[in-house]
Order: sequence, then structure tokens, then C-alpha cells
Amino acid sequence: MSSFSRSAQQWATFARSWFLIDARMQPPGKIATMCAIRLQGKHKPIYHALSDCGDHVVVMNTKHIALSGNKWEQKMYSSHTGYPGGFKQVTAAQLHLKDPKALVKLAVYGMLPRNLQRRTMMQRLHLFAEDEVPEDILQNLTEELAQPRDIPRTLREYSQEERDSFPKLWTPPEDYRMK
Amino acid sequence: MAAHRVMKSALTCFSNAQRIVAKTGCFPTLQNVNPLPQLAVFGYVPSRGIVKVVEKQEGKTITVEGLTVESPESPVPPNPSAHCPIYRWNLQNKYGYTDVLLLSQFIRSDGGMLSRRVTGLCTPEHYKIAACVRMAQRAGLLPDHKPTLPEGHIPKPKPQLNRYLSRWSVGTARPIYKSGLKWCKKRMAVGDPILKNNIQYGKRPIRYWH
Amino acid sequence: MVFLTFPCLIRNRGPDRFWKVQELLKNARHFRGRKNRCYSLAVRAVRRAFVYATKSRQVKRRNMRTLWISRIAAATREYGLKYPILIDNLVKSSVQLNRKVLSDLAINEPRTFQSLAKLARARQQEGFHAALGNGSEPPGILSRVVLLQ
Repeated sequence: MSSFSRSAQQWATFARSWFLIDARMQPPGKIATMCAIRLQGKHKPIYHALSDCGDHVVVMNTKHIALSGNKWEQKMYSSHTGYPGGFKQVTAAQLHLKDPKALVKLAVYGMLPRNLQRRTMMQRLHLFAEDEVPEDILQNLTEELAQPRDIPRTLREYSQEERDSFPKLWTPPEDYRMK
Repeated sequence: MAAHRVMKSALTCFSNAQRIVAKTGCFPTLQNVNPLPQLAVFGYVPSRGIVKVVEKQEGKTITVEGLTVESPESPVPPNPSAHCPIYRWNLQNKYGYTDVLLLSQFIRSDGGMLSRRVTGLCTPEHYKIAACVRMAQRAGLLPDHKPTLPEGHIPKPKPQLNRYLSRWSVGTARPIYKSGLKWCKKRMAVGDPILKNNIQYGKRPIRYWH
Repeated sequence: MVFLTFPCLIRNRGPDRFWKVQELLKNARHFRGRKNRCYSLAVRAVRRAFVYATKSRQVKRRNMRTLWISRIAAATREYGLKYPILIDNLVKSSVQLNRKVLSDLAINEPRTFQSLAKLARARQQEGFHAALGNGSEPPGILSRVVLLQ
């Protein structure tokens, strides 16, 4: 090992890679767990909390995330302006319409450790509402991560052959009028 | 006026009643033309029925024809003696809201459930399928099964919010302003506990309250 | 009187209290503020510091173990396994490497770690087959070597 300098290895080990996540039809919490692991560097065997080995994460299509249940209406995001009577509450739908990146951002921020590195790690998270990512970021990307939730197909997306090959579970009576 | 002679069961009475209603409406003639091979003319037919009503207008006469549609041959189910289609195919507790090919067989073209007397579903399975259909509709998995809007009505553009496993309809869900203390939180409903006996391929039980 | 060390000889001259204070302040010299020179402040701080030191001997072990576990978990995910599955199946295959060695292997010898992950995966599949009734679960890796010979 002494024949060459190990600085190249050092640079290669601690180089930051860039991950891409497509958030279309994905729950923001699952996206956020993937992001939080990568931002902290917990996906590397050399992980140490003080070694600052986190990576960059690019999340696109944050406008098209999906929430389970009726959380668009039921889930509230609260904040306080600091002034008397300054307690604000908005539903997830209102917040999302105002800022399509906010839900994912808040979810990731809540999953990061509460320490001084938190804001630094958030700076390595790049959110995009649509799938248009700037060219300089696109060139950095190293890997695209698989989506955590598999998107169910709508009835329109099934081809006619698939529809025909699915067996008819019941036969209507002979004179039944179709509606 | 070609009425059907077959008076087998309540099903027939049901469809006849419908026909009479149709006659007393504005339709002057009601004809029944027997087997018509060309299913492809109508494109994909969302609901499975064998009589299709076609209206034709010639001058002042509106002809309403009931065309009998051949249903394609289906393979023999594994449990043919059962009455309920779900039990006939051994599908109990094996379907969810994503199985739109299954769900679309039990709904009308406007998205409502077909009657249990027609489909022959047993009561528990009928309610389970109804819950699945509701969740599939809210998730937007059945985009073509919607009630027809009145003529010339253009719906207001609404923000498209993707959702899945929604138990309540969109209009009825209220925001939870006070989520409560840590030990007595007000939870948000996800999924439907009517499907709680569904087969699970994991250790972790499904949570219906988040 | 016999003095084994020079400090003991020094200490024996002069008043006891002075040397008692010096002994204590020796432990407080790197403290901040007046704690590093005033006895009455230092004595409390030193006692507190010793309590912390005692406690953190356990805490350090705990923290190191969590660090190893998170490192092994990170390395395991690269090979499509999860940490509990890896550890469980390595134990079942009687691989007696502790977490420290495993995390060192994951960092410095990724190929070795990969083979361990493959071993765990194979053991997991055997367990699945046994659960389905196809074949029996071998008791350990060594027993299998005996069987093969």
C-alpha cells in the first residue's frame, strides 16, 4: 500500500453521490425515510455520526404524491408565528396547494436527527415539484432509487387482452338489461 | 313489444319491472333482436349484462332495441356448486381495492354497485366488494365508471390530489384540529376494517388508524 | 520510613491539607473557569466528573454497539438483506463473529462480508424450505461440512 498515495481512495470513499427519487403516487413518509437514510449516510458501512458522510438526494414530482386515508383533509400542519394569536393550522391539502414541496420537506425534516447537522443535511435535499430537474443536477445523478409503493393500475391501463383473459365471475340472467 | 317468456325467478321480474318503467317513459317501441355477434361495435363494455339497450331516432320515432349480447365462454370455476361468485372462484379474502378487473364486474357503468339479487353475491362479500369499490373510486382506479353529467355541463376544475385507501368520502372528512394528547390521540382512518380477514403476506398487522 | 516513589517522599513533607488539595486539583486542571483552581468549586466538579466517567464506561460500550449495528445494517442492505435476518441466520449457521468484527469486515473486506451475506441468504432459503416441509433444517454450518464428507 505504501507504493502509492491513498488520497485517491480517501476521495473516492468520501465522495458524495446523488440519488434520484420519483415521488409520483408515493406516500411522503416512505419517501422521507429513504431520504433521511441517504442524507445521514446510514446506507454506507463507514457511517459515523460525526464524519458527515451523507449524500445528496433529489426528489422529483413532489406535486404528485399520494396520501393514504383521508389525510388530505384530516391531517393538520401547525405553526406559530410567535405573536399573540399567531397559531396557524392548515390542512395537508391547503399546504400542498400553496407549496407542493412542503409536505415532503417537513416529513424529511422531522425524520432527521435533532442536532446541528440537521440544516446542513436539509441543504443536500433537492426537491422539485414536477419532473423537470435542472441540467447541472441531472449530470450529478448517480443512481435512481426504486419507488417504495407499487402504483396500482387503473382500469384504463389494462389492455383489452388482459380484460378478456380475466374470467367472468358471474353470468347475468339471460334477459338482464345492461346498465 | 317482445316480452320475455322466461319467468324463472325474481331476477326476471326485476328486469321486467325495469322494462315496464322504460315503456311508460318516453320510449314508444321496445324491440328485442336476438343474438347479435358484434360486441366489438360498442367497444369495451364495462358492466357484464347480456341485454343491451340501444336507442335509435328516425324522424319522430325513437326505437329502443334490446340487443342480446353473447357472453364469452369462461373457464370452469374451482368450486362450481357455490352460489356466491366469490366463493365459486375461491376468492374470499383474496381481493383488495386494486383488483379493478374483479371489481368492475360488480358495478354499473355509472359506478354504483349492481344488485345482490343479480350478481348472487352473499351479503358479507357484497359489502366487502362495495367497500373495495368505494376505495378504488376514491383512488381514481375506475376512471370510466362515473355518473354521466347533464348535457353541456362543464365541471369546475379541481386540484388533483392523489389518495388511496380512503375510508370516508372526500366531502365528509373534516380536519382534526386537535389531535389530542400522546396517550389518547385522535387517529386518522386508513383502509377499511371490513377487509381485516384478508390474507397477509407479512408479519406486521395492518393498522387501520394512523 | 520507606518511600517507594519520589512523589510519596515529597508528599510526606509539609501539611496534609495542601497535598490533599493538590491531589484533587490535579484532576480538575483542564476544567473551565474557577473550577480548575478553587478547591471548594473543584471538589464538586471532580466528583461529578468521576460519576460521569463511571457511567460512560457502560454507555460507551452501548454506543459502540449501536454504531456497529448501524454499519452492519448499512452494509447488509447493499446485498438485499436486512440486519436482523443476517444476524439471525449467521447465528443459525454457527458463525461466531461479533458485531465489531462484522462491521470491520464490512468496511475493510467487502468481499468477505458479501460471502457472509450470501451464506445468510442461503441459510434463510433453507429455513423457508424447511418451513414449507421440503427438507430439514441443518443444525449448523460445521455439521453440514461433516455431512458432506
